[in-house]
Amino acid sequence: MRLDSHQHFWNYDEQQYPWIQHGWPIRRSYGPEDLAPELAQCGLAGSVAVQARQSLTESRWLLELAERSPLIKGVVGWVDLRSPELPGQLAEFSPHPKFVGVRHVVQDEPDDEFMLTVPFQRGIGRLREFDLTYDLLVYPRQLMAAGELAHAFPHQPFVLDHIAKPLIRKGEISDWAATIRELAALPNVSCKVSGMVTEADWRSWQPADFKPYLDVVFAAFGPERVMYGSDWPVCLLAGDYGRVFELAQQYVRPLGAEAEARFFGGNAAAFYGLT
Amino acid sequence: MEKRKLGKTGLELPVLSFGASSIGQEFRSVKVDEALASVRVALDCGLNFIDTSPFYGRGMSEVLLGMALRGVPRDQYILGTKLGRYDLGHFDFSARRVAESVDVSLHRLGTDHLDIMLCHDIEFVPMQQIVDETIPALRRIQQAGKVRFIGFSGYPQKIFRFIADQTDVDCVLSYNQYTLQNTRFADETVPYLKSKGIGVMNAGPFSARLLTNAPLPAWLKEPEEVKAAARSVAALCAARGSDIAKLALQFSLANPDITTTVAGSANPENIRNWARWAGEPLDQALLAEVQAIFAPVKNLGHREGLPENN
Repeated sequence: MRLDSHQHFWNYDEQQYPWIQHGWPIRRSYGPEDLAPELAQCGLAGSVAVQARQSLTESRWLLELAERSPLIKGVVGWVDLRSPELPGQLAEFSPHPKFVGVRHVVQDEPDDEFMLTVPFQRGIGRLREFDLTYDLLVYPRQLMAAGELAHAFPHQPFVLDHIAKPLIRKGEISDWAATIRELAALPNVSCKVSGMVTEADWRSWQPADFKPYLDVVFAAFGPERVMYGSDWPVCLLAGDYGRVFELAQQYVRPLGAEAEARFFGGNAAAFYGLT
Repeated sequence: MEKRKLGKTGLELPVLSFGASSIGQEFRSVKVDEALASVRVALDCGLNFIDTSPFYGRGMSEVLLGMALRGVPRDQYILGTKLGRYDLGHFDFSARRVAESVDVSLHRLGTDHLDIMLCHDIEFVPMQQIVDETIPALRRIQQAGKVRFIGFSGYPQKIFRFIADQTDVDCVLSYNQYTLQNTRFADETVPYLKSKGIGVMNAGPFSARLLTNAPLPAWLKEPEEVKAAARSVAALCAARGSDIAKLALQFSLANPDITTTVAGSANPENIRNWARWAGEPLDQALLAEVQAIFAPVKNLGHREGLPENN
């Protein structure tokens, strides 16, 4: 099954999506009907919808969409990992066959060691009982803590979102690369090759801008722990769906048919347990 | 000696391992030469996983082990110790003491790494601290390379789910609850541990001498009716030309879901006997008779640690 492992939906609302700025073309609603033609033109059969708001309402809404749309193969929702109410929240969502993982917007937490705090780790420790994965949404400066977290829970599957968002437009690579290699040394961590174009120069990026980063990611994680993600509709800020897909495909095609099949769906299906 | 894999650790342990509490003189006064000889005999017989604790002999077990293991190549044995319990009533599972305890144990044992480090008898403290503080501290020490795999040990079966529902551990050790008389570990806990890929270790096949012909230690906590049943079983085994200890050991080793069973003695002759018994078949007919005698007191045990942890 060929898949996009990372995209979002929203009913646009200024207060609920404060990070979507005035003048951006994505200041509108996006639903499965908007995604369908994009996936179809790239030969993809479905996607994993990832939370964009930190609320239980978001998780419920994404699951409702997933029930209606066969395109959505899995949902990565939000639960309050630090709350004493967490077991009840997980018990509500986890019976849904498409609820496959959770994510917290750690990149917006002011404390770079947020992931090492006791309440957060208590929450992470509960996920395995419900067979749920965890998506790491962090910046490069938070990668050390991400590594400590993944080391502390060696049986918990983690996936790094957006290769941790290195500043591609400034060419920053060496510190990022060192911590990526450390993180990839942990066998319970995979990596989404997604969200890169929005870290590059939105107007003038070229495929060559990404090659040094992709070389690091593919060498560190290997062909069995990397997965394609579009980060649509956020990616539309820097290019249409087809261009983002093409960028990934150009890089992966020379690696062979097996690596390509794993990258465009096989690894994501195995990681999230998608059918 | 047959070996089995320990959870997802990649370690392969002998089905019978050497418990070093005896050489810490937990049961009787022991001559140093005899203690050192026991360790050598255990290794010669294939009991190449050694389990100890700073609690055993209040350090003496680790010190004597360190002496006994001098000159033995490090890859010839697998070494596990514990932390957090230092005396009958002295427990400290703080992150700071974790770091100190690991370093002290390494020094006493004369090695630069421990294969297994367990939080010892955690039922004596409020166990949320183990999840929130002790295990995270051990994971940092693991990253530094001083310990390879981590876990915890204790008596009440409740402790295993309490911890493993909340955090990841590599292995656990239960004691005195997989024996001829008490199989609660296998009945209640082992399938759960197996489903999580956690390594399963057992200790105390003789339940602190209860299932042997040796005199019982004064501190043995089992109920009187259990002791009486054990005496009947010992007499039956002797009448059949066998030995209650032999049957007890073979029973504990026979469960394929339990990676290893730890037994200790400071008497080299006992260890040789055990290693021989481990290779002989279990007398199923005698076992059935013995289980019938134990049936009225099956799984009777005692409370240990804080009431809420039982």
